Amino acid sequence: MLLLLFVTISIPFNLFNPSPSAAAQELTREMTNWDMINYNKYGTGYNPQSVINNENVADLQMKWIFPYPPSSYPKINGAIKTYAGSGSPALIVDGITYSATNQRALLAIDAETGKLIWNEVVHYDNDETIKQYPHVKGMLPHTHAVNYYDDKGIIIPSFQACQIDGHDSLVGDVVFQVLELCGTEEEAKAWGNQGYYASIGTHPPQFFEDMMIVPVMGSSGNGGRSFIAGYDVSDMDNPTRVWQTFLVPPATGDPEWALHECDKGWFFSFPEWKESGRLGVPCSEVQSDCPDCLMNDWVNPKSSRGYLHTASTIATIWGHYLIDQETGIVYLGTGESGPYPNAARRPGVNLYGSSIVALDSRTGEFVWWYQSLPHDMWDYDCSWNAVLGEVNGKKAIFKGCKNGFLYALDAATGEPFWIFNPPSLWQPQPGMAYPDPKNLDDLSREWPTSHVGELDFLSANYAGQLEADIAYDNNRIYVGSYNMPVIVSSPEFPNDFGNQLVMTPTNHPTNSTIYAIDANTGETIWEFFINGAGFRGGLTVSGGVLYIPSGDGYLYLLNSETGELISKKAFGTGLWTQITIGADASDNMKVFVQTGGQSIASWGPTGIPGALIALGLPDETAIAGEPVAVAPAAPGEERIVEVEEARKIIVEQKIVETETIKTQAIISPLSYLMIIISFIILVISATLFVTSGNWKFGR
Amino acid sequence: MATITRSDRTKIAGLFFIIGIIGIVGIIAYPTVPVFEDRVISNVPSAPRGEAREREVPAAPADPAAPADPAAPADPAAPVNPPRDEVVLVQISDDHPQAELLRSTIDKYHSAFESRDSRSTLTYYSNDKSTIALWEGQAGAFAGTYKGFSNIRILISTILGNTMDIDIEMISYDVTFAGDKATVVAQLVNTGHGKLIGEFSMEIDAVTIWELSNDEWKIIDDRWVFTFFKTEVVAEGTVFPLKWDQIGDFSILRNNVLFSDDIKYVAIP
Repeated sequence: MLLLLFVTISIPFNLFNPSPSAAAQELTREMTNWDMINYNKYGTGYNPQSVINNENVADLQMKWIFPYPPSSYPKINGAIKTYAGSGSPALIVDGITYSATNQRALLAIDAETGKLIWNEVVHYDNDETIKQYPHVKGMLPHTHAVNYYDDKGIIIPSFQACQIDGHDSLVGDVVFQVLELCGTEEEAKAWGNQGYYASIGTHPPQFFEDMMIVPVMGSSGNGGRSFIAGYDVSDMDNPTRVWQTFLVPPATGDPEWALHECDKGWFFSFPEWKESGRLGVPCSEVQSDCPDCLMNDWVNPKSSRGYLHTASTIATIWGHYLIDQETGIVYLGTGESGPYPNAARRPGVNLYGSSIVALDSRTGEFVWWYQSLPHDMWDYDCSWNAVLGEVNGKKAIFKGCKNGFLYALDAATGEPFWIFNPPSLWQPQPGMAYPDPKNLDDLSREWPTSHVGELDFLSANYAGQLEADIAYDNNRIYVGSYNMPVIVSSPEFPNDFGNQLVMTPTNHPTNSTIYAIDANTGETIWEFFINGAGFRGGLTVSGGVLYIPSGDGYLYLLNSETGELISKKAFGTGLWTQITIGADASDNMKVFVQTGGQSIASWGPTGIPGALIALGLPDETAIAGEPVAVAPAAPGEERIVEVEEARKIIVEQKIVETETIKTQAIISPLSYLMIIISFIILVISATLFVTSGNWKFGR
Repeated sequence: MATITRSDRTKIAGLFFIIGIIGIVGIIAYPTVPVFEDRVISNVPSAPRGEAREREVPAAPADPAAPADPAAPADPAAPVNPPRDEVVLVQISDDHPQAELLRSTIDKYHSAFESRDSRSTLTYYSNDKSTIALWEGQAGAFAGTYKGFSNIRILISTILGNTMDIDIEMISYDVTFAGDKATVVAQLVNTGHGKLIGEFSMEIDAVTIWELSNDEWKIIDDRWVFTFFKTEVVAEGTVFPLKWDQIGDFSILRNNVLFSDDIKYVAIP
């Protein structure tokens, strides 16, 4: 009875479960801003705010919606296809939300109201670019990312036409440009290039001191000698390339290509991992055990001169790369080796494709490398974000690759701490195991099933088994894997260029599993299953909540500690882009969801413009008025009363030391004196007039 | 010794009469300090940069689009510290040791605005949650109360981000000092070209309160009343993507774009 009385009294005062917003967490810039695609320079996808948390996240409601226009705006000449909407996570910088659309518009939106602040479009004409630079191919399937650089006040989206455009974050003007990233045709020839550079950079550059690091890549099947470039940007008006580190051999071949940096490298050997759990094989061991395995890497066996095939190269880097600001080491996950799935003209381990590479950003020299899949024939690149964190107090790089594995590597040496292979992943058909770097036959395989004499083969998916950004909250790594098996048919080798990829669906189930992994051990803490949808986009963790935007149209909200589903919210269309969290100018924390903007047909419908949607907590004043119903108890019966999310409203009584000043119409004392003097003068004038005798009017 | 004739006395009396009348009329009609509308300002000492500071400001006109005041109590019935009724007079003057610095600061502020240097423009506003900008009158889509430095940043970003060029002409300037604050009453005529509104011309009655802190004048209260605002293109609001699918391809320089602010909230199932 006393309990009931207490509850009855307590409810109106909302003494239960104070809401986090009322708890008034002191917001710092790290909480209010989301600067880069994966939150910060280190790609964690983790906002440390706790205003929106696992106790109130279910109450999120829509605050505003910003619909995107259809794909007709604006048309980019020569682009492969430009899709509507945005596939790039929105940024939040000092109360302004930035969204980069697939059609190259950069939008600044008031995070509080959803009103457009400005809209800046950099107009590209890929036809013109290709005409001017015949060694470049125009591409633009979608805009993948946009980053803000606080020390420079600029915003840079994914780049196009081999040029970087940095916008002033407040007015949108292009204030920083780097042109001719792919060089002129003559320069490219001198670099040993053949084929085509991709013209796009899916991820904006990163900076370290006065250096800007940017990958300039070919595309698998189209050639182009991929490289990482370092630019001196001490004079932002005149950026100068000071180093290039090539990731594939020159067109004329290099028989010892795989040996140059062998003492710094590691291979992931799937067979050895399967057999003994070995996490990495030093390159030097491969060189010792199988000397021929590392010779003539990439060299076209049909070339009598030892040249590379025109289509061979490593594809675009599709993931947030980072620079440790203490060491100056830049970490990048490289694109897949190509062309694929037919690798008949590129035998060998194909360094440095499908790898994680660490370079000194001052010089471009290799610090270490780790190849996740030697002789990749599956498009299993190491795309998506790299994260800098810690394993048992040592700096670690956490990196997922599209073979479905998550690697935790020593940031200083590349030596693996642990490797996580999601147990839910469907493994490719028997006999199609990934190549062993010590097996020359494996490294000469023409396509995944050529060694068993089959053309068609069953594959996990051409886009792999891990197609999303991971998140890291200093304790746990969150990773989303998926199964979406397909049959790949007739891998004929292209004449000159292209990936001969024909896929058909299978009746294998499509599903996704999200894992929370102990960052120190690599062991699973919990897992969450999503049926019927492949997971693409990215995970976000904040306030004890893991946000999972899913292709089935739901935003799943999980307790990040336990994996318990707190709530899910439907958006009516597949979600393929990670959500972001930041505050508007009045410090209201919000969750930003991109819907639509999807550009890859295998994932779901494309061409849906979608919208940018801001979610926030309900206004506290509205909640305060909500009645809480309590059912009557039977006499003598003990009753448990469940109070749902009652909130405590804290009204701060601020004693404001304010003195109020009223500025009023004031006439100064001098004015009064002047008036008196004037009266005296008037009196004198009257006296003089009277005594003058001229006062008799009409005389 | 010269004698004063009747005629002279009459002339002198007439002259004194005129002087007396002019004196009285002139002094009554033009007091030695300008008359302002009743205005409540604060003499709370400046808080260190970045710290919240409480300051009373004049009640802004009701504006549903205006950002919520985070300092406002959640419950109207909750006890708050009422403004004191007492009126404290302080020495008000039209001169100040830093009067010239103020004038040159204002010139630099206008130059930054004219050069569309948003960051420089913002440095003239006090980085404080209580700094306020209020645009009213014929301010169109920009009308509103922008409270706090963050919201003023958005205002400046909106203005300069949509402006291609702007010229600010200050056609009148009057300043009154009270302690470390200066109230500047000015009339501005701004002309230029906007990305969305084309050629524009605006006339503004501006009342700006500047505060001297660390030998720098900073704006703490900036009120612009637009008495005239003419644009080449009509712009009703700033939320326009809803219209994109109705107008087809969108070009920021097209002049037939009509914007609307009719966005509706949609509930999530």
